[in-house]
Amino acid sequence: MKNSQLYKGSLTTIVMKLLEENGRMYGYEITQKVKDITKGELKITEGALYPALHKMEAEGIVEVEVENVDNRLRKYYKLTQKGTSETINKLAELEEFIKNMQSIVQPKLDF
Amino acid sequence: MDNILRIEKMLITKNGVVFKDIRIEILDHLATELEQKNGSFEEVFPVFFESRKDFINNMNIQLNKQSTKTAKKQLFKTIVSLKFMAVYILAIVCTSGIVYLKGKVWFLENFDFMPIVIPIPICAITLYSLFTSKRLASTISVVGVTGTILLTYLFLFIHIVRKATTLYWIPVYSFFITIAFVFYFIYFQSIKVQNKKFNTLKNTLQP
Repeated sequence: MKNSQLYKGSLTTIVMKLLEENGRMYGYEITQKVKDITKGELKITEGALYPALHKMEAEGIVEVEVENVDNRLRKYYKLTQKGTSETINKLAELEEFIKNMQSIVQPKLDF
Repeated sequence: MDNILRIEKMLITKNGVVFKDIRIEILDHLATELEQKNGSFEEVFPVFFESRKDFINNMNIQLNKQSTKTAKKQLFKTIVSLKFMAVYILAIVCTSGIVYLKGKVWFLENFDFMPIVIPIPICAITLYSLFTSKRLASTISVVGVTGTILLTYLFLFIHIVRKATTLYWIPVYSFFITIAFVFYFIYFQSIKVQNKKFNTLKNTLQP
């Protein structure tokens, strides 16, 4: 991920949002999607992504489907029911955070 | 197909990515990245593989660590579950009953090694699987973590159980005997989870 403390801790939320929008995705696809959306500004490192995906799998947030693609096995991740409701909570939390940060960084000027 | 086998062989021999569940993911990631490169496989592969050495090693270590963490969590969750408590209480009642009828000396002469003996079949199967190409990090981690807990009985708690003069040794002994039985549950649950993942593969391969 881009070397910024601001982005750390948001990785799970980013992955959950992408899975919510795209149904199911594999690791490489997630890294590329983030790169595309942010026009290369944010790069998720594989060293952070895969352990995060495995952790989410262990917590029951995502489930795995293995498929044969071009003579190799590919692991697709998709949100579970628990993961879907968790995504809504996480996004609401993030929205609240952004709103609060905005009011601190750009306070409304009262005249 | 040959190219995939070549990458897989390199991952096993050069980078020590021995667990199938971890290898699948690294292999797919590398193969997808390779597909984006221009040039023939023969030209691109050696340079690409060398440049991704750190990534492969880092991923292998990280995913192995994650696998152990998951196994620890799974064991902890099982220990604090109501099912475990029920089996634990049953073990205490049974042990107390036998000790009451036959005495501590007789009981320990015949059963003090039971927490170590009961999981031997699982350990033997796991040991065998270590020499096959289908070994899975998730299953090995489950056996490793639970096995370590049981080894503390062999090296420490068995002596406490033998030397104890009061009855507090019964809950200690019962805890380990419960872990030994629950080991089977955790082991087969881990296999079930893996099978569930690969079942989707079977479905996609069907004509």
